[in-house]
Amino acid sequence: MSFFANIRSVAKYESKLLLRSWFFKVFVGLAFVFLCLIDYNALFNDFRDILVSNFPANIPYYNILLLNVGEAVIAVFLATEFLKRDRKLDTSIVFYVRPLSNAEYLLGKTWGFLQVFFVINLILYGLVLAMNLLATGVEVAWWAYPYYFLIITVPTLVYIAGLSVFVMQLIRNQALTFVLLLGYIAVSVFYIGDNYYCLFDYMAWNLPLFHSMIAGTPNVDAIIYQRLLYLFFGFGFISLNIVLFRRLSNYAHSAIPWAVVAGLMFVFGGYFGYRFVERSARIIDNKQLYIEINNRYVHTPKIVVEDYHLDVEQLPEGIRAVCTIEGSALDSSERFTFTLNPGLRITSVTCDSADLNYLRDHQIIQVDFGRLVQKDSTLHLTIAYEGTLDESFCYLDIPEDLLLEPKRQSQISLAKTYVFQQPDYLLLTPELYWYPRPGTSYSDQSSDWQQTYFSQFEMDVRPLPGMRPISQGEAVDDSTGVFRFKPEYPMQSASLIIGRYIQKSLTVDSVKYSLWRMEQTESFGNRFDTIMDTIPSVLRNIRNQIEFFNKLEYPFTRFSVVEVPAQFTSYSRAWTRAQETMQPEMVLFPEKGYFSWNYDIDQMKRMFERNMRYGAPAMSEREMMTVTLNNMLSLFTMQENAWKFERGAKGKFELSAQYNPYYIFPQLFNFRYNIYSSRWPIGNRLIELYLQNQSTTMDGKRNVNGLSNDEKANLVFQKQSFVEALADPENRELTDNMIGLQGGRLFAPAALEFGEDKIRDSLYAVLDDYTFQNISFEALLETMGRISGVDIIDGTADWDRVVPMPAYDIGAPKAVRFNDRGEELYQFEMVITNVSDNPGILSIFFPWIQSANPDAPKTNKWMVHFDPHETKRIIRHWRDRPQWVDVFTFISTNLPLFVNQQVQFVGDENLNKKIAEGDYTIERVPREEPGAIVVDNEDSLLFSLSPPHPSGLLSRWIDGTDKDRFRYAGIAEWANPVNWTLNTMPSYYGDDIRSAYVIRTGSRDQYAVWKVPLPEKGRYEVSYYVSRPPMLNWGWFRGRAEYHFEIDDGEVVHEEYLELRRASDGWNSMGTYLFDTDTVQVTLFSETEVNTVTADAIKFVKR
Amino acid sequence: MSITVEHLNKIYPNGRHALKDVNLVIPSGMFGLLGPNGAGKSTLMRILVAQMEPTSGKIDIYGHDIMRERKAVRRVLGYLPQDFRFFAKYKTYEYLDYAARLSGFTRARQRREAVDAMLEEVGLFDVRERYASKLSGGMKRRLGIAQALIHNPKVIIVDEPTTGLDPEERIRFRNLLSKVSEHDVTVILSTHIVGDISSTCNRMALLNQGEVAFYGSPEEMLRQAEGKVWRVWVPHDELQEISNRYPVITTIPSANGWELQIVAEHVEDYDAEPYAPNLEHAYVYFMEYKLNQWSND
Repeated sequence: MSFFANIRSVAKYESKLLLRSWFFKVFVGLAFVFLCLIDYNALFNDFRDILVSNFPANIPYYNILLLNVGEAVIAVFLATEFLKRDRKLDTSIVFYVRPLSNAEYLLGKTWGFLQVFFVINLILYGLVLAMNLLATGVEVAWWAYPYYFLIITVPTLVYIAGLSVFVMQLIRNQALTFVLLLGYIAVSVFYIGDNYYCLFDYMAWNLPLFHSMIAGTPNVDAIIYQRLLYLFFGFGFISLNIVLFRRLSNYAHSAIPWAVVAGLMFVFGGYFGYRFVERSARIIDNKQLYIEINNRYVHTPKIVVEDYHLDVEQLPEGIRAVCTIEGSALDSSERFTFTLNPGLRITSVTCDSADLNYLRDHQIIQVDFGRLVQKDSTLHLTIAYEGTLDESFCYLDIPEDLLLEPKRQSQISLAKTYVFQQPDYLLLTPELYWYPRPGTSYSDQSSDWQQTYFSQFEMDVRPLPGMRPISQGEAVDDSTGVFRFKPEYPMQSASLIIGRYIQKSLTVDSVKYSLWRMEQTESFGNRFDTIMDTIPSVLRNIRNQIEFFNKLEYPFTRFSVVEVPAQFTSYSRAWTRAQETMQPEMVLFPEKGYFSWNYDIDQMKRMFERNMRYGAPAMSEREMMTVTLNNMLSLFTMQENAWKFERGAKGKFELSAQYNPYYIFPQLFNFRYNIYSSRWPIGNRLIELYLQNQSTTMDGKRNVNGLSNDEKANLVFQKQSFVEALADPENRELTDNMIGLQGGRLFAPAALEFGEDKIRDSLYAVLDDYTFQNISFEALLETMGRISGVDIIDGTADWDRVVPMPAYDIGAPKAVRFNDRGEELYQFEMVITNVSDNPGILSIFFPWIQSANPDAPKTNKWMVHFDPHETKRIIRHWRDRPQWVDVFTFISTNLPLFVNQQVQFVGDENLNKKIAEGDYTIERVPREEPGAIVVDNEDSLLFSLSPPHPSGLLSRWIDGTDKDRFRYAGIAEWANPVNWTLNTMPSYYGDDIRSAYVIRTGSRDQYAVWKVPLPEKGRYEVSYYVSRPPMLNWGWFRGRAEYHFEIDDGEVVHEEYLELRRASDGWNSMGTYLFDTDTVQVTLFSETEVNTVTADAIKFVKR
Repeated sequence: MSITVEHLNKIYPNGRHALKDVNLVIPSGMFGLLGPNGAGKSTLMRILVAQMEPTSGKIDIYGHDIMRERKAVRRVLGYLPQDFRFFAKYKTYEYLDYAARLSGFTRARQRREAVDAMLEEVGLFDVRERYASKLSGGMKRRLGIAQALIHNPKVIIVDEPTTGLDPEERIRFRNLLSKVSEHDVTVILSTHIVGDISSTCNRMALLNQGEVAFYGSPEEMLRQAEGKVWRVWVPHDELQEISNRYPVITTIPSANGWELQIVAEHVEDYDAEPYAPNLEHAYVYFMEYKLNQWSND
């Protein structure tokens, strides 16, 4: 008894000391204020966080997570404090001479420490709970408070308390211990982070602890293992601290039992760590095995399935199913290969009630029909199976780092989940191979696996009592608890969802729109009942807008938005735009729309009300709800979402966006057409991207990133063939751009002959003939070739080799006005030269312009072919004055790839000067006047820069090392680079590469030097190529806007200031100088009052 | 006998031999441990309170071997360390309560009564709510002895308890210790203030350079100095000379020069008369003439 009494006594007095420590008091005060602010922001603010406010369990989770990090730091200091105190205070020894044991003393101290933290936590949770209760429309998840306390706080504090004292006992210096452990915390949070499956994440900062209202927390066992690891390691360290404690023990060998306990605790911790890693790594470990098996079977014979009949019974964990398949053989063989999720166990394979032999090799089923089945002959079989699906079988093609990349928002981590199979919820998408599909799944050796075809599905589903199944087709309940789905159209694959769903439907223009929401989430509830009469027009508008934009019709008679757990995750693929979130006639929508405040209806309403208070036009309740609905539905119309802005090293920024997995396009295209190819599996995607005609070249991302993804793809193509580039995981983010560029290049000759719009229209027409049918990529290209008279398929011949690219020198566009038989017209002129040895095609586009001849409207976009070293003079007439012209150079070495230039108006001309419209081949006109000497920043011999600012170890560590894959980087106007950074813009000087170095304003320490060789002595006019800093357009900027140059001919140094306000984009004279030397050095310093300095090109012209 | 120390040796890792074959028998009552700085008193104290392991030797405290039964030894020990100034942020009452808890007072009521009684006993009841760190030097000492006594120990070890105290506090402290020692308790008083021992201890030991130089009663030590202490009168200009020749204990100015007390076997060339020795004289005599260590510097 005295054991516990002594522990309690020490704990009591240790906790008194802690509570009286100013350090602790300050922490508690700050924590109180911090949590108030956090919760106010998350629950009461106009822009509150939907992931916190609409998911009650996340309120304690979010708070505890943040509090836990602060506590971990404070705990290190305070846990080491008592040892220091014992040494420092001479009066402590009078407690050491008492008969209590070292264990009692250490455990008492540790318990006292933990007790205080636990009590403070409880008080702070009380605060959070109070705010939770006060927030309107926010539920309280009572269970989540103790749950997250036990999962996050307890193991963290036990571990850090044990570890801190342990390190302190080893080092015996509190300051050093504190610094070391702070370093450990920083490394574990910022450096190791979520690596190694979050094994080292002792604070649970990255652990996916989000709790879905539909499906709870998946893999909760793995999470518990990880937390037990730290709890037991904490106990281990505490026990070890007893062994190491520098006070004579009561008995000679009393440390031995504690050494044993410490050992056992570490063994237990290690065991749980092992279980955690084993559990977490399973998805990666199995991946290679499954791919190898697929590789083995990828070339084995397979069938095309024409009809599927599935009888599916939901089990408390998993399914039991009988799948009847009817199809035709693609090859003559006795054995045919199918794939079924390896977690599912086959109970029988039969044909006409006779058992068939089969081989099961993990996911592979190789069925032996016992006879030679001739190619194209019909066969049928029935496969019965049951079990729990293996999630690790999904996404074999997705790289490990992407699979392991955390899914998080507002610091809340969600476990990436691909399958749900629990008594109250089942979600099966085709990626799981939950029914047998012919052939294999992903193979990294052959693209043969990728042949999917349209099949007719019929499905009978028996869910568990009270559950509602959802699949493609209208569910017909036969009153025995079986639901029959029989979609009217063929599909490439089917999905099945079972849960306590509530359906809300509306039929508009023969399409039945349904919202399937879960009982427990109450998402959107009856909130839109007030605008039921308006919803049809909203839906109609959105549909029309989508169909018009994509030139495709919605092909189904139903459209369902099905609410699924927030953890459900999908990935984009190289070969299709469709992700698993998008299934035929349905979108798997994450619960409560957690990722966007557009789905927080109360919040939206409050925002409207607030806007009205600040002067926005008054809105009725109906208007508010209509706008809200429109905002919500806009998700389905956005191509990209999830913008990510990252700060890189030395002031560099990276802006990226991901394809919106809820963009409706696959419903119009991917689920309707099936362009397959064993040789070019990206064929489908190529056509899809070509039809979408996207260009990401001049969007905001390019300005920030320095290069557009298309330009990056072009730089990749300079070194890799299309095939190699697609296979290189480093190019994964460029996949769409690479495919899109090659698509443009593939169809460019046909577009040149036939017109780009006509080619697209023809493509739509051909595809329309194959609605819900299979067409091979090669057949499609052949058909298109016949239509256009161009051998399009020949364009694929060089996809497996590096193709030399054209390079264009795009001249400045200009326009003159003239009078044509009484009508005022504008003659546009631009000279473009292909400066390379390779032929090429580029595209010219005039935005917002009207043709000169309204009776024969011509396109404002056309293509021009260039032979090697060919120069063309482009002449066009327009009724309106052309303001801007865009030149898109497809696959070329040009940077920027997309040149958008203002057309210079050079005055009026008389009728005689009129030149007929056309693209005239001419002799190359030199860009500069005869005798001009130009030195550009791309000239590595004559151009140099000052050495970069030295960076210390800390800044290198924080900024990271410069490992840019591409030479060119982006410039953010609000944070210009501290060192010279190479950037490309249309306004810079250059032939095919228009680049310049940019640096933020500084001093004479940073400079750029041009060494200009002069052919002879004499007077030269010196000009500088200016790209006016955007800052000059800011009205409030009143500073001196000039560049500071020194022109040094070896004898005299001329100081020159170039006034930027008076300068125009392009060459600007800095005066004429007499040079008595053969080389002149021009230096530009970064000292100026404008925020950026651009080092581009210098020109010397003999006068 | 309550405490026996046999062949005790302590050699520090740096090679310093702090205790050399120390043998002591310490009966109940007040026991004084005298010695100059660095004699090994504090090392012996730390070993006696089970805070340090000896290199060799054996200590038995009330029948318990200190090497094997530290818990039992700690139960009967009360300790007041030499330095007792810097406290954790406890109130006076809490400090004593904490000590009482750790000494086995598990019942709250019993503990409260004991703590209150002890606070009364040492005169700190009125400041029981004051933080210990805010007490005066004397009060801190009293709090120190209170914590050492709170559990009625059989052995009380006090290390230099009166250093820095004013005379009144010192006397009060001595009396307190004497009173405690009346109850069949062994009080080991380690000090270099001879007066503390002469006025309270009935047995004593003199430690010098890690060895027991004397063991016995203060009277026995005193006897050794009988006839060796002299009162001498010297003119003003001879003070330095006589100081160089004999250990001078006291120097009192007089009308014709100085009246001195010196320790010597016999005095030549000066006007001297025998003087009754006290323990301080005996200590000086012992150090000078038995151990040849006295210095007037």
